[in-house]
Amino acid sequence: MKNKKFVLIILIPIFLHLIIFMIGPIIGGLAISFFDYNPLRSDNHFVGLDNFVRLVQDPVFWQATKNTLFFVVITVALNIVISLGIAQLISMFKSNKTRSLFRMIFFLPCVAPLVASSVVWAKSILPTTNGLANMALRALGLAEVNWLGNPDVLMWSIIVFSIWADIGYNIILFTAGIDGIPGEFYEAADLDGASGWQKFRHITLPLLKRTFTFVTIMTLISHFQAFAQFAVMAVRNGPQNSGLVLTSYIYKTAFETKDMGYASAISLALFMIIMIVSLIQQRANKVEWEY
Amino acid sequence: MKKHKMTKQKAVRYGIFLGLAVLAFFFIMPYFWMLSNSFKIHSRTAQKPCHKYIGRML
Repeated sequence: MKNKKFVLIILIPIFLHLIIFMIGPIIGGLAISFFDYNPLRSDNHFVGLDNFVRLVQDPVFWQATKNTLFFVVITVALNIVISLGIAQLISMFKSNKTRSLFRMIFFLPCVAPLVASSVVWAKSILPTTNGLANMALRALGLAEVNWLGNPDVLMWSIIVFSIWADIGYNIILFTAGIDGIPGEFYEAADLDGASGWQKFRHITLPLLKRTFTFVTIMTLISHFQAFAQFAVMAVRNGPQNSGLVLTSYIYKTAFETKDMGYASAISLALFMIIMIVSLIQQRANKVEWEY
Repeated sequence: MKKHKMTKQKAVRYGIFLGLAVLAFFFIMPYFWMLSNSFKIHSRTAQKPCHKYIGRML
């Protein structure tokens, strides 16, 4: 009984925090999406499902959704493949110092605030004439690329930047997962004469499934919510809206046109997309074993 | 035979180290770029973002 009281006292502030700062705003957002809501206006009338009907008929929303899905699929896939590969290579070293050194180097970009690194990439690495990327291309005798001004290249520039900025976190998680696999499995595989690839394919990958599920879901969610790099690198959403994603469309609708009801409807659509993708991912990678 | 295998393993490990070191260099390069830019005022960064030593190299 005494123990129960203690648990309650500990849990009440956490639940209060959750209700006030997490569940409350979600319900508030849902409620606003049924209104023609503008904070600068005193009369905000109820419009029912009008905002959602408008959403389905809005070509800009569909373009933003298409751009978001393209960005998320490519970035998450590349991020996971590259980070898993690097983590596996790092784990092959026996020396703890070497492993820590590489882990630290690959984690460094995660330390800098995303907005700050986006500004540096946009202002001094990717500019056409003075940028580091084009200077390197010129030095190799290759043609310059308009990284942020060409609608076909802009999204790829942001994808490369996002991978650079985010990969270190996943490398840390994957190396922790690989280090947690008991060495006996590898010793047994060595006795059977398994090659490095066979060990990776039949031991490391299956036993990393839990880490894999966690990393995939967290990376998916964070990339669906990516905003800073698009706000900085895709000026005015890029040429022909090529850099317009759902988060920037929500920002534009809510704070530039002050159409907060419609912005809430878009936010709800993004919330649904993230929830559906996360549930599918979780179901697909369900793990029912222990070692 | 065993010695040959050991040498091969060592070579593979050195190769991996070298590969990761090259990758780490490209990975960390923008970070140093950011650091070098942080010592300049904005107008100078926009005018000539390249560091003088790297500029000479390129």
